[in-house]
Amino acid sequence: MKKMIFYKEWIKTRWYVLAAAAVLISGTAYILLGLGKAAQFKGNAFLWGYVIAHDSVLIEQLKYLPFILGGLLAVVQMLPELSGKRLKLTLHIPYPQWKTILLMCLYGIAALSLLFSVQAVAVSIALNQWIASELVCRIMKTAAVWYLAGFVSYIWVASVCLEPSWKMRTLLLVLLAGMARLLFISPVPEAYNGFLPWLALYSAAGLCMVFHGIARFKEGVQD
Amino acid sequence: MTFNMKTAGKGFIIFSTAALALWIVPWICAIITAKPFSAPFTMYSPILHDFTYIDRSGGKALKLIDSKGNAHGDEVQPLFYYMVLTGRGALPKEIDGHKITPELVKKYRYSMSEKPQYVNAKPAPAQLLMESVPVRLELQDPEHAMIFHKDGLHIYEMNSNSEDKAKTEAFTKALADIGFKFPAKLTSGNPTHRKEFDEGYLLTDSAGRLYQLKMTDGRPEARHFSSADGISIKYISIVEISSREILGYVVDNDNVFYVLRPSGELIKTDAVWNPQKEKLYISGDLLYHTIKASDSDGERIYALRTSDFSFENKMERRYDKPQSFNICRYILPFRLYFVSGNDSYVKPRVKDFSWAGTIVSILAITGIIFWRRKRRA
Repeated sequence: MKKMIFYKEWIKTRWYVLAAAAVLISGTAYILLGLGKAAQFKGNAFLWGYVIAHDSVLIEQLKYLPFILGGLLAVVQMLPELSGKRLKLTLHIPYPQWKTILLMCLYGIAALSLLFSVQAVAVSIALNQWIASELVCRIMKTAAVWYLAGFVSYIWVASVCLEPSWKMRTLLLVLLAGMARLLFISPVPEAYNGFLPWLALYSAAGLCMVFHGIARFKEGVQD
Repeated sequence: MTFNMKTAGKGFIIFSTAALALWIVPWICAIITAKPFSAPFTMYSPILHDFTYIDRSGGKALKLIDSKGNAHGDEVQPLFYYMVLTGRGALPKEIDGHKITPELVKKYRYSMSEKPQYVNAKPAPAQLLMESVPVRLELQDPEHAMIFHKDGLHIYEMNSNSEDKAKTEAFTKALADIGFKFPAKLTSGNPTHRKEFDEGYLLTDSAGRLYQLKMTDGRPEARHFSSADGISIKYISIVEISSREILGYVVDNDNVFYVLRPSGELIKTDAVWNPQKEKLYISGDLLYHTIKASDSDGERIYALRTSDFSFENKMERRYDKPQSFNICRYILPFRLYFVSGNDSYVKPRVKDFSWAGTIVSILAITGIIFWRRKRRA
């Protein structure tokens, strides 16, 4: 049954996942090519100096991409469930309901993890050509919160999509805005280092909002 | 399971909403009710031997007010307004027996500032290392970078992004030979070509002892300041000013402010500054250094003699900020915020606890619970 649920989710989202991969690859390639040109024309010392003296992480332009892609994946994956009473059918398959919903969410999280991991590895390999591994490590630690923002966006938007009442949807959107503000509040490198594990735990706990929405859907809550 | 998850989800949403309210509402209140405030710019006057601050209430005319409330013109700060006074032919030839010329004034005149936000931040793991004695005389952009490890100092040739093994060995040996314990704890340098000369880095080793390191002719030049042994150093800052009479500033764990001379002499001053919590502004000239340590509540301003950094005068000012009605103190138990002007980290912090706000919040929550139960019934 697990395989079937994953397959169902893949059928629903395959074109989006491929498109997201294309956007991520092209966006990353664009930024890295720009950095490569800068290194070629001005020397690697220019990039070193930028990271050390200007507190830059070189890939700032990529910071909102995981957040956007995460939110869109949730829309693409969860919105079809709401049309044509498909969610009711999903909840009636011979498998525990909470496991079904959990597996659906895990599929999305796995898909995002794969996309983000590939991007992070590609960026690390490319940056290692121009700057020391200690500086690459600092950049990737700084970028970790952007990837977390991608998962947060996915979980919160999935909750909004599966929530039956507009009042609650509005509240969840306000909470999402607050989370977005918190996750992008500081551009300083490694500013989130100590707080990031707690933020990750809190974000993972956000999955219970999805189950809250499903329970309300089953109860027939409406505006 | 579904019931439990629903309850958990409900709890999560309530917790998140409460946290958001505690964070955003005081922030919005502060934006709406904030009133402008700025502390007056204060300096020590070598003419009056008193502190003067700039009074801008009189429009464009410059008025300098001394501690007794008397108004003066810019002639009481000749070492600050020396260009204007030179233009007017009003620069004094001598002050307290010290000869004054525009060249001398310019040579000694400098200012620097520091903020806790930059002190309490995770520094980059690498530092740029520039050549202090460049072949073409003018300072050039750094070509090397240094990274401290437990086993020594690693020097990188940045353009090839590779370690310069020879330099790594030479720099590590130079530091180890004078007793440096790797890695470095604090480093302070200013690796830019936009300065007259380069003094490299001031640094403390893992045992907290003070050193200087620079690269001259591609070779390491390291020295240990035994004058700082025994001092628990928590802040260092290199100073590269035209007069070349100061090499750096040092602050110990008791917040005592020291001045390091290029000779290695460490002068303990009467100034006190907490780098982790207070802003610092230093305005130095030929005769006096005005050192201001300030936080959100007020400021302490010290006047020290430039010749030997002995105490000349001190003033304290509590900020009389315009008070605005803070409604949040009456509706919220405390304020939640994530970033502070005192460091560069994002983490949850709580302040402004209010009993009135706590009681109102408890009453409001109880009221909502009763109302919802009644509605359901």
